[in-house]
Amino acid sequence: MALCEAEKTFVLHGVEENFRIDGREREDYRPMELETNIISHAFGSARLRLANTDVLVAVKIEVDVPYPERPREGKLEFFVDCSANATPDFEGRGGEDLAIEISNSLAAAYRSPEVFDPSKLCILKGRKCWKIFIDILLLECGGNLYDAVSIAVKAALWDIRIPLVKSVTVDGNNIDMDVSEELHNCQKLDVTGAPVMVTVCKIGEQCIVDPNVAEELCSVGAVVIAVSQDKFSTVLQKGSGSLHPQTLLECLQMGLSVARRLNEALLETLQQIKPSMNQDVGFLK
Amino acid sequence: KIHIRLASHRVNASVAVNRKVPRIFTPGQVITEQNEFMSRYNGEVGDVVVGRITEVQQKRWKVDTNSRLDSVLLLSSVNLPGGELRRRSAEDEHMMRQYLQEGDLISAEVQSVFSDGSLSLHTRSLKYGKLSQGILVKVFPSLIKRSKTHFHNLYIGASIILGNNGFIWIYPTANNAEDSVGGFVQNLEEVVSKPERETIGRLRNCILALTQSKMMLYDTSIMYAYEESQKYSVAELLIPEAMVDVAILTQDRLIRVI
Repeated sequence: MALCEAEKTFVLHGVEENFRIDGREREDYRPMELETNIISHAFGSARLRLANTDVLVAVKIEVDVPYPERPREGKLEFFVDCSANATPDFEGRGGEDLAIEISNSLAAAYRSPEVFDPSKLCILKGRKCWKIFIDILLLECGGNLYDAVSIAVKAALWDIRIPLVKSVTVDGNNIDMDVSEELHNCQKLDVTGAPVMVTVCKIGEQCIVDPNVAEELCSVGAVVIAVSQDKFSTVLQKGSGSLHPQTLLECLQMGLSVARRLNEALLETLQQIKPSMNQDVGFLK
Repeated sequence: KIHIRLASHRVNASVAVNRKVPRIFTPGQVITEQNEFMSRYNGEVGDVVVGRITEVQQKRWKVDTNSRLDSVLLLSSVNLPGGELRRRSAEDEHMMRQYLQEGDLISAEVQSVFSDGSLSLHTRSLKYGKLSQGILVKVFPSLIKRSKTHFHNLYIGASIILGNNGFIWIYPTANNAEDSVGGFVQNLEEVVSKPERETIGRLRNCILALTQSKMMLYDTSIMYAYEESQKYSVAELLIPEAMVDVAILTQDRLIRVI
């Protein structure tokens, strides 16, 4: 989709006046809707709707052998699938570049042990560990993909139920794991450190967060900032434009403060989810 | 303030009124007009549409009008700048890109329908042509009510074009009556003022609120929605509860008028 010069001018002047086309200010987000435990056969799942953007995340677990140089750590793997449902551009192999970019940025964001502690996934040092597969499906693209994906991933990791290993017996080269059969005997992960990504778009001289499709087309460059507990986890640059160092600093500061608010709002919403009540909505309504 | 809600707290956007009193229909009055609701636009001769240029071809432009096939705007169907009436020369073909490029928005009328269902558009009137600064809102085509005129200059300082194809164009009302240049001149230096921007943003959010509650869009319903939405700020109208509230209040006012 292209925009004509007049529309771009209108958006640009709006951003400068701190009144975007839908009335939001530069640091405002559109209302979001979150649901967890939406896929029954996955160990954890979440779905996030951010206006027109729709992201579905499912988490699966397998038992695997840890890396030899990191014997006490589990593994985390991301896979992004841009379905052709989202936009016609994703037909065939069109969405592959974007998918690889998003999964690489997530892997980079979760690499540090301060963000996500992989030693919690260890079963038997050097022999067995949990491997978490995080599969992300983009159902609809309405701008601001990175934010939506990172929030959905954090919610899915919050929802994850890892089976509890009651005991591990080693018999020569055979390893037997006794896993609890009870459904509610599970291990949860600590996701307070999981990073939240904020896309800061530069339009004209000002920076905005949560751009919609039209604003993304007007911006010259964007910076995606992954923030975990007030520390930067990863920063990547999108788009073909270049940024002045001063602007980059402003973007980083804006991203940090917005990520803090976003993280608070997300954790508050996650606290409201009670496992006992039947709150399933799913895709039918 | 960042709003993240749970899916179980989703707002029911339906504003269907439970009619206990039976409505009286006269013979010949259509009770249901359309079976499909979320379908693409099926054009008819005489419809006003808002479209975006997708391609510039030999003697015509391809226009995206939210239909199954791209519509066609022939070079012979546009008004040349300056309002001249002459046969199109080879030079005009080369200058096509200067008139309309990929990405430009136009308002046009459907001249005819080809056998495969695609539309042929024309802008041979001074009220049609290239659109300047404003906002495009996309809704379902079946929500646009057919009326005598689709160009409305609202008293609040903004104007809207309700395209039959579901594309709605909201723009600030031009103060001076533009002299007839065929609508191909765009004023890019002019900065739209903040009050006008608020009006346009509020109209956009009201239209989206009515769309979410599946209400018909025409100048009266949009104006009522605009007036009922004054108790919210423009950004607050993005919250689902506010949208449903505006839709219900608009529905009430429309029923009272009838």
